Amino acid sequence: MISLLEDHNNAEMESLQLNIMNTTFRINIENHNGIEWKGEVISFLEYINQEFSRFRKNNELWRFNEAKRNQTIRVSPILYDMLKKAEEYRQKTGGRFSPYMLIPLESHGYSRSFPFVSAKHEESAIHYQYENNPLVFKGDFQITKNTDQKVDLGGIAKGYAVEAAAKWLKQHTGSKYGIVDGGGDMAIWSDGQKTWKIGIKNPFDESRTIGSFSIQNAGIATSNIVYRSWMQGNRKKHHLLDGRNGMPVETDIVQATVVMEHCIDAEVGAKVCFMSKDDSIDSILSNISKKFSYVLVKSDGNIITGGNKTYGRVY
Amino acid sequence: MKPGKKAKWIVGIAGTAFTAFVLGQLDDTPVYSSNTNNIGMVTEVNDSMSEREKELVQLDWSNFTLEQRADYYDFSTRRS
Repeated sequence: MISLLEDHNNAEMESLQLNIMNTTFRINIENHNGIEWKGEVISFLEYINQEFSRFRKNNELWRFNEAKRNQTIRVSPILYDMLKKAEEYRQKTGGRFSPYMLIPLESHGYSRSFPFVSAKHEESAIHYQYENNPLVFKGDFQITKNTDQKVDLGGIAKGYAVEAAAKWLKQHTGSKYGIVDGGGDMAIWSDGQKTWKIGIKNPFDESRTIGSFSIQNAGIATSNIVYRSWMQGNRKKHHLLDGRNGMPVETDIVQATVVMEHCIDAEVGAKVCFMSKDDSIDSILSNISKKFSYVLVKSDGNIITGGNKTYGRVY
Repeated sequence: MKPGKKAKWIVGIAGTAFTAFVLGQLDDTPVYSSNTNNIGMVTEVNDSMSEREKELVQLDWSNFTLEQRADYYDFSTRRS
C-alpha cells in the first residue's frame, strides 16, 4: 500500500513524496530536460515493496524462504542481485551484517510491521548457527540453499531501492543535481552547482539536530535503536541483530550515521557500527568502502565522529 | 519461481528499461584508477592532481560539523 503525499514541480526542482516500504520516500531532482520520471520510480518502489517484504505472503521472498535446504531455486534477476550483495556484505563485515536473520527476528518478537510496543509471544530459545556458505550462487539466476535459515532483506532493500532510483534518475533524466531519501537513507548527486546540507537529527529530541554534513555526491544512512524497539516479557528488544549470534546487539551507541560513496554501503555501515568496538569501527567500515565518515551518538549523549576525531555532547 | 511470469510483471509495472538499468548499474564496483570523483584514490594520486581536481574531490562531502540548528538544512536524517 502506498500513498502519494506530494507531487510538486517548480522552475528549479521537481519533487515527489510518498509513503512506501513502511517509510516515507522523498525525491527532489533538477530536471532541465523535462523528462517524465515519477511514474517509473513509483512503480519500481512498489515492485520492491511487493516482492521483497517479509511481512507479505506469496511474494518472491516468501517463496524463496519456503524452499527447503539443498533445493536449487531460480529467482528473479533483482532478488539474485540483492541476495548476492547481501552475502558479500556479510563476508566484508565478518558476519556482523547478515540477511539470514528472519527466524531470530521473529523469535525475538519482531513479526509484524512497526509501530508496536510488545511482542505477541514470550521469549523462546534462539536456534541460530553461523554458517560459512548458506547460499551458493550459480549461473542463470539459480541459487542453492545450504541453510535452514530464512532471509530478511530489511537491512538492505531500502538502500538498494534508493541507490537504484538515484542512478536511474541521473542517467534517464540527465539531472544535474538531486536527492533520493528513503526514510533517512539518502543518495545525493550534484554536478557541482549545488551542495546539499544534510542535518543529523538528535536521537533524544528529533526537533533538534546535532550537526550536519555538506554533500555533493555520496550516500548517507542513519540507524537508530531508540525507535524500533519493543518489550518481550520483561526484556527490551530491538531490531538490530548481530549476524554472528542472532542476538540483539548490546551497545552504548543509540544512533549511527555513516557517509560513503554509495547509499547501500552506508546503510550496511550504519548497522555494523553497533556491532563493533569503538577501536575497530574504522577497520570494519574500510572493508565496505574505502572512503567513509561516521557520527555515533552514545547513550550518555557523547558524540564520536570518524575521521577527524572531534568530540562533543548532545546535551 | 517462474522467471517468464516475473519478467512480464516487471514489464507491465516498472518497465524493462528500469529493470535492465538497475541490474546493469548496481554491480558497478568503484574503480579507483582514474575517476576524480572517487576519494579512495586521493592518497594515491594526490600529487598529480590539479588544484581544481583537488577541490572537486574535497567537495564530495565535508567533515561533520557540530551545530544545533533546525531550520536551514536541505534534508535531515530520520530514524530508521
